[in-house]
Amino acid sequence: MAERTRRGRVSAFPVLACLWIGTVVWQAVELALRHTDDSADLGPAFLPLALGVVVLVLLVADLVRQVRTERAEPAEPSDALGTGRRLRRWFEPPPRRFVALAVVAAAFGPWIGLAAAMVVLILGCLRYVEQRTWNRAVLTTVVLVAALYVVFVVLLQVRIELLPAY
Amino acid sequence: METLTLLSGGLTAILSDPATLAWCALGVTIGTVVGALPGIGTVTTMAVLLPLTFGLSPVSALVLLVAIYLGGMFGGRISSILLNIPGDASSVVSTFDGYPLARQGRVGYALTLSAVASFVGGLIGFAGLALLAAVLAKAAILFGPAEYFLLVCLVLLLTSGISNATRSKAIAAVSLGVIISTVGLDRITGDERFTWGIVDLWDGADLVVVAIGIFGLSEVIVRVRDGGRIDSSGKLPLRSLFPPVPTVTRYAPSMARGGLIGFLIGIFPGAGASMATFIAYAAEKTLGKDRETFGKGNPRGLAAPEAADNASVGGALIPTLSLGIPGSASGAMILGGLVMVGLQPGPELFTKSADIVWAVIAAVLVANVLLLVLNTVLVPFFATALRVISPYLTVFIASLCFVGVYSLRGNFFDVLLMVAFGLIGYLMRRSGYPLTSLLLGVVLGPMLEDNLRRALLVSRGDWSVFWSSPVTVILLTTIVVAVAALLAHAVWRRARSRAGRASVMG
Repeated sequence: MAERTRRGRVSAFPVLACLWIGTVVWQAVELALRHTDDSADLGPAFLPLALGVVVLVLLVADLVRQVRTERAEPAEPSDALGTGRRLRRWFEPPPRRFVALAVVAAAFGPWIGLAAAMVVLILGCLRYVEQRTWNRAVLTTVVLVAALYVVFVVLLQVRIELLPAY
Repeated sequence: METLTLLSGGLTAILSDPATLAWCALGVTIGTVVGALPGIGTVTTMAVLLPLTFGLSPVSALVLLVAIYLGGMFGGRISSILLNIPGDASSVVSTFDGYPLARQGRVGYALTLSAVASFVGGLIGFAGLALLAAVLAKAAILFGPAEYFLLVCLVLLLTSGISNATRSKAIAAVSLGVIISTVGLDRITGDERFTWGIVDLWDGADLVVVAIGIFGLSEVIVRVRDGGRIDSSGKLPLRSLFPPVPTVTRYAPSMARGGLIGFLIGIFPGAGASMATFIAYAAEKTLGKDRETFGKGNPRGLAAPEAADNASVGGALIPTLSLGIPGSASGAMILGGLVMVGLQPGPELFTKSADIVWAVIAAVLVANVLLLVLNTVLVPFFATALRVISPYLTVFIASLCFVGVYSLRGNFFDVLLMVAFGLIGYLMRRSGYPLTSLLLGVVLGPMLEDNLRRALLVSRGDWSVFWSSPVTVILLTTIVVAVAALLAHAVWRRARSRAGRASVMG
């Protein structure tokens, strides 16, 4: 795809970090106002507040620097798409598919159990992220899950609940 | 002379009893294998196997625990080098240059170099433990909260120069890490901080969860993006697995420096091996003329922290044995083992149960020799294992991350948190923020905050506690000098780049 340069685009990390640190500073101020203990203790809000302000300043400075710098970026198709096709296109890059699979496996873990969550993750990753054949994906999943079971549960005797907690 | 006599008595106790020797061999093997698995960690293994020691003689029980401890230290580097997933917090630094070496197809070299460095570090730790146990234990108790706070500040300051990222990004990442470490219930007042009412966050984000997320899972996402396999997936000639001796021994000075740093840091209770490895890496980078190659597969960046990691075991055993204050979580398990076999750790231990104490000290030497043999002989095995699993490395690492994190507490919230940190790690990589600085902040954050507040509580709010003792004066002076040096370096670099631009324009 053709690339173009554009100002004003920023990377995701400083934006997300700024948002979270913003909530930290706000909660730390609330904590500091609530902290009525007059002992020598600095209180639970001191360090997060002090460091939070520093981080906020550094992140904002980075964002400003990024906004001012021209960045090359791939041109995106401008054709109008329906929600379904747009969603499918959004999920086309393999990293997004992998993250979605990992989130699903972790989020549904309490209801489906670790064993099933591992099957979802491994099978899904092999089939939909790495585009392996079904036969190969199933075989690899079985071997890998069995190997993990032998190492962690049989050999190391780690107490792991394999079945759903609910 | 007396030391040598006592030490030979300890060695005889281990070597003359086949059962004790067998427990030592079993301990180092279990420790190495488990240390290589992310999430389980040395401490968990020692905790799981602690009940096993009930039926053993006191010497066998303690030798087994020491062997697992050292084996775990050796094993942690394997997954760091092969998979870029640190087995535990102290192996994080090994990923900086160990993994790039593996990616360059120098798996055998990286594993052998790190095994030898670990052995050298272990020997330095052993020598220090045997020679200086009584003397240095007294020095360690000079460190109160104010001294610890300043030491942590110094470490954070020095290691912010570790990363190749811009200094402002490194400082932001370190501070962010410290703030992440404050999530949960406040350890002094019990106030809830930044948990959004989620009960699972009351204990904060577990260090292992954060480490596996930002290093392990983010690595998986990068691999998925690049569709990459490591370069060693092709055939490796046997010769490359056993590199020529001079290519390893030429890094002996780095190993010696790292070992010395690791031993000295290990003595301080709570400082731990992870701090030792970070300092050793920072020192090696500061001393080197090839700073630009650090983080890209510089052997010195692997040798020094590996030596520091293992040397810290000897240091950590000093306060554990002579004061009853464990220098690390693993040291606490040894302490538990001592109590379980009916011994009371402390100064009297060296007089009342000298035979057992010196057997433990001798076990450090025996375990190190066994580990060197085991780890150099098994290099082809590890390299072959990597080649076999290479096509499935992405799912292998991802599943290891999941099971490793889940096995900590059997809680899927931890897994979800690990995925979140994985995503954060990936975004940080893309934005050029150093992951190691963030992790360092998470590791040292609790020590920083607790010691700052404790120091002021003890001094009743008097800030002069931070410059009222000789140790604090030395630390404070070092901090001031370090800040001045960093500022001067920044000014010099800016002036040089301006001059460069001016000459281009002219």
